[in-house]
Amino acid sequence: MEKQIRTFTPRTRSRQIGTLVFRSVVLLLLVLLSAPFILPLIWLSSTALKVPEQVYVYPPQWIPDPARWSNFYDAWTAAPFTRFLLNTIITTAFPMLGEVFVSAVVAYSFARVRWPGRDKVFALCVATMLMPWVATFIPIFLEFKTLGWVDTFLPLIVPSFFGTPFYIFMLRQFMLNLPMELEDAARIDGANTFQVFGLIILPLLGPALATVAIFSFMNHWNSFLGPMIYLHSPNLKTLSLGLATFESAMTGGAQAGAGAYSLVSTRLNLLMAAAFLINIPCVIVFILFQKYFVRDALLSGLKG
Amino acid sequence: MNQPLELKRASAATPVRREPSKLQRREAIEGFVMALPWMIGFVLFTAGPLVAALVLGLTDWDIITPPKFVGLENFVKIFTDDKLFLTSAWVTISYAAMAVPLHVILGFILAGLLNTRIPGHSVFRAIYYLPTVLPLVASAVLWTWVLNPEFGLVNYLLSLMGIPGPGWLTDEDWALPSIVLMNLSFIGTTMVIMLAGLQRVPQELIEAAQLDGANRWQVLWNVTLPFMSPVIFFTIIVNINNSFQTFTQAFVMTGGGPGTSTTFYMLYLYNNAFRYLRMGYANALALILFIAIIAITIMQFRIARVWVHSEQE
Repeated sequence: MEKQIRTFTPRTRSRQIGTLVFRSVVLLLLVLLSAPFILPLIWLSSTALKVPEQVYVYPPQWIPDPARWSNFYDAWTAAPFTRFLLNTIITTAFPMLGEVFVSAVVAYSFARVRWPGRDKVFALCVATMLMPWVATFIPIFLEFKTLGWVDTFLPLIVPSFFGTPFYIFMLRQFMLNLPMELEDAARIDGANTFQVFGLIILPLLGPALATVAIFSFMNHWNSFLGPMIYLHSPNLKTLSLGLATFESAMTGGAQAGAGAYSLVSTRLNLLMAAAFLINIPCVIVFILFQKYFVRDALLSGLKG
Repeated sequence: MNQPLELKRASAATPVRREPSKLQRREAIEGFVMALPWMIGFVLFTAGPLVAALVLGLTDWDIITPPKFVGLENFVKIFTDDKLFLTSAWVTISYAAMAVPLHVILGFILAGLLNTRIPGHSVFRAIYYLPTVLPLVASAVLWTWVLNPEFGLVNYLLSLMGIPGPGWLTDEDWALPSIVLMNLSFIGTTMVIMLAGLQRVPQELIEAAQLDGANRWQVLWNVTLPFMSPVIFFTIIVNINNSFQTFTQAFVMTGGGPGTSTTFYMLYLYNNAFRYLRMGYANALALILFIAIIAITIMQFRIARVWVHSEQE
């Protein structure tokens, strides 16, 4: 045994060195590749703290001196951002509630309840997951317009209360792996399906519901096209919409094409301060719930 | 499950056999009721609108006056007399041709680097994924300035390496690549899917190959890639879908310009519907994009039979 180890030693050592070199190269690449992801965000944070005279200094200064913390307050009050925040909370919280709860109910029906035609309906539900939304968004707009719901929050909230195929699919997968015994026992004791779901299944869904909730949050908090189509009054705007408008106000607007640069204003610091504040909730959610993002990726990987 | 039910039924001495028991019937009704929200939603927000799109595509409608049936006129006009349709389709296809391979290849490379699990890999994973969770509008605003030709960060970094940076968003030739570049900061989505896939490649197979003397490249080519092919396929489909429906970036960063260099199909469609209020025409445009995406997806599934390995084999 010892002899064998001795004969293998040189080879093992060269292999160890090879591994060390390999790992150093990987680490170097990881560091270099993180630059394009993190540097713009660092630039954003630094610009957000600059005084106007420093914003366009070239080469850019990474550490603002002096740091003007009042930029955040000035940016926040330069437009009705508190109102926008409130609107964003409304158009995020209610859809989240609907998506999480209704998707779970529907998923339970698809996963565990026996009824004729169930698997066909579920197949249809899965098929709509791959459907591009471009085909339906104009007729849906016209639908809501007919109802007189344009310029209200309803078009952004109500559809969530009909379940979302992707979340239904995810939750169904999760439920298929739950043990059946408890459910059977409850049924024999005379519980109906709704009671079984509410009392037995729902409490077991914790992590799966958290995943759905986080993705639903991100989706609604960050959405742009929907709010832009439906919310016209300035006092109904969401943060994303507000930021786009704020950009036009602060810089002359990219809407005028990239020619907007010629109107370079000295209020870029405020624009970046606003962008910084809007990013914060997402960063916090991401840091707190990082593992759920990866878990969802696992599930969506399964789909392929 | 069935056994206790049978017992119960037997004790109740139900005379009719094969008929579903009362319990089963109740379960079926309750199950149907629970799935009902989605079925209603499907009619209201998928099937109904799809039919409506088909009908509206055949009309001329400005929302204010009643729609006028014009037959296939919209489609004839789109294909024979609409330069911007061709331009926007070309912009979108060029964009996808640049963005999709970059996302899939770089996403795979990033996932591969992270999968070496060297110390600190989870920090890097968080850094690469972070831009993905931020509001798209905030990123679009940020990158408009990062790409500023005079004092933007990108041209500054290029100048450090002695490379004179292009005009990016202000240059007709560079505006579209600028959006490709900006969108690469959202590679995290593809990366985590790839990473999840890589973690499913059976470790024993890799070890067995290494014992047989395979080097890293051989392992990658003969073990990892075949196992990853369904995941790669999935990311290709998702990325094509996203590229074809790109909107916000162009809307916020360039408004379609300079010239028509970033007039994405979705932007042109949006302008028709909500700026010029040509609902019929916009619906016809939407249907064409819809059919194109479905056709490409089906084609992808066909091609996939050749190169995607199924794990059941």
